[in-house]
Amino acid sequence: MKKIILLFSCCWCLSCEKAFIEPDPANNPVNNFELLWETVDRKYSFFTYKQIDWREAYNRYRPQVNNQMSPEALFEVMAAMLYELRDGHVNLQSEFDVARNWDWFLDYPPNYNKNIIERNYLGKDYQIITPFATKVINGVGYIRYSSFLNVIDEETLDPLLEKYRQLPGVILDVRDNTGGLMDGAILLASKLCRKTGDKVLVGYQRYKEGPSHDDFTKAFPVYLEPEQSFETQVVILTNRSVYSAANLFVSYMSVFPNVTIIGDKTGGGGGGPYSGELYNGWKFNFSSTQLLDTDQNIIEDGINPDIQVDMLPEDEARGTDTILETAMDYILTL
Amino acid sequence: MILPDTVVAPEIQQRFPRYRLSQWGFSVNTLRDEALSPLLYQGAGIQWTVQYWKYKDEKLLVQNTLGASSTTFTNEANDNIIAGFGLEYRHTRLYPVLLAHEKMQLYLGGFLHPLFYIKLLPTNVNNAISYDILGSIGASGLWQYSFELFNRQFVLSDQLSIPLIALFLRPPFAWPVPTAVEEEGRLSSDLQWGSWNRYFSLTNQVSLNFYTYKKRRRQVVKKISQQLSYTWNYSAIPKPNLMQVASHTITYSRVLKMD
Repeated sequence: MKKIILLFSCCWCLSCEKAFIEPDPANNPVNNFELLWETVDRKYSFFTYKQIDWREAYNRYRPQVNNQMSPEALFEVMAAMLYELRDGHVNLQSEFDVARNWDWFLDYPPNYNKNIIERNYLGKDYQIITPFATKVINGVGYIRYSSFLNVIDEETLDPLLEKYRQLPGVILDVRDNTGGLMDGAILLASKLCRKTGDKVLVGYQRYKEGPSHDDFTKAFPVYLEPEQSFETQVVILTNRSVYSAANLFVSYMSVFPNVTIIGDKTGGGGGGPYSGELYNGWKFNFSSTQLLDTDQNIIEDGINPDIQVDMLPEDEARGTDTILETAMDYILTL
Repeated sequence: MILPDTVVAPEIQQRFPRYRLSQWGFSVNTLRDEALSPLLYQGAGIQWTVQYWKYKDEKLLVQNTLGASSTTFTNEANDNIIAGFGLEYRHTRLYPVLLAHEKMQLYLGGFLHPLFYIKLLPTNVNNAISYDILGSIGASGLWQYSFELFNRQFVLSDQLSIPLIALFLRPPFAWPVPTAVEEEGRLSSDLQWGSWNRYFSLTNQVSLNFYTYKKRRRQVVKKISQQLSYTWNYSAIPKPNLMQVASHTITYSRVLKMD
């Protein structure tokens, strides 16, 4: 039996994968910085579009990193470097903080007041058809959809739209909707669009396929294939906090003749986020694809509304939502 | 050459003997899959395989292996877990090339090996899934040596398998879903094929077949054939994202003669 054990032990030792697989580099600030910079350098999708000199950023931030610095100091340097990407999909998550760039909505008026909608428009008797809050207001169907993370169920959406089909118009309020599942954007858009063909081009998507900043696949077209046409006029309410999948949804909807976008420009977020992690356990996300409109323009910086409206402070003080009122007037005067 | 369950001498001279090995194994694994993470993950897993061996008139040995495995990988840097699940089939045909030594046999041949392996890292946003879907054709060699020790019969064998050409599908460079599948319903533009430069794998299995004895009133009434194996595997696909995996697997099996 000893011989058998010896034989198996020899086989175990001889079959060592260390000859093939290199161990991770030491977990120190310099190696973590290098891994973060290199991963973003290879896979981030908007360097050229945003005219960011990532090598120059390396030259500026790398001297600030040394192996004696604290995790907090390293986090600050990394956060500052990532901030230069000007991208809401970019963040760095440590056990003590999350670095992010929220300029895409903080630099602009909010244009949405949840209390006003809830207290002065929805009231106490609105319907909650998960994930929507809805009510007929002044003869117009109002649907509030707060997040594309909340999965849309066709079985609940179809009866709701069937009911609103008879109305002069439907307002879909996606203000402060910061995104979620892209599949939800495609599904909702295909339910609310006026069918202009069996297969309607609504945009394009490009993927990184190599480490150079401009290594992209061709732009793959994205089509909607609506089962039935929604002839009713649809107004979509937007503000700067409409981001990512919600931004994509607005871009898709802008193609259709029965859709009008009212409010502020959307926040953007036109790249699918991708995740990475560092030797010290911190995680980070960044954009790795490019979402494009039907003219192949990148939608990273947002979608302009058809009718630009901001919430007026005096209206807000009176408890009136300027953007919603504009949308209702627009539908009722058609 | 295999040791079947029997109350008499091994019936290796039978014309078409067939054997079934139902193997349970425990593995220790190392994984780097840059489609999920650049970090090295260590894992432990279980494996089940069922293997059929068929000797055809001492001119051909056919092995059919169907296996399933489940592995949990963890990383020292954080508490993240990659869950891996695999299914594979291997059809090997081996021909005896050296029969001069009565107790030693050498077989050489080839194999066909379809594999499906999926890995999940749920803390990632979009690239939470990685997969290796591949089919390979390769060369295999089996060396067997039978010997007696302390009046007991053993068969020691070593089988080495190396794929020569492979067709495979991995996540694209910076997105989890094959682009052509997502946008055009086609697979072809994301499929890759290649030899060692694109897919390298090495599988070495050392096995020991032996008997345990079932006795009644100090008389051997049955010899139970068993196999203990140690398998080492290393596989690597360098593009579009580096994937390396190494595993050490210990398996135990009863050897059942089917004829």
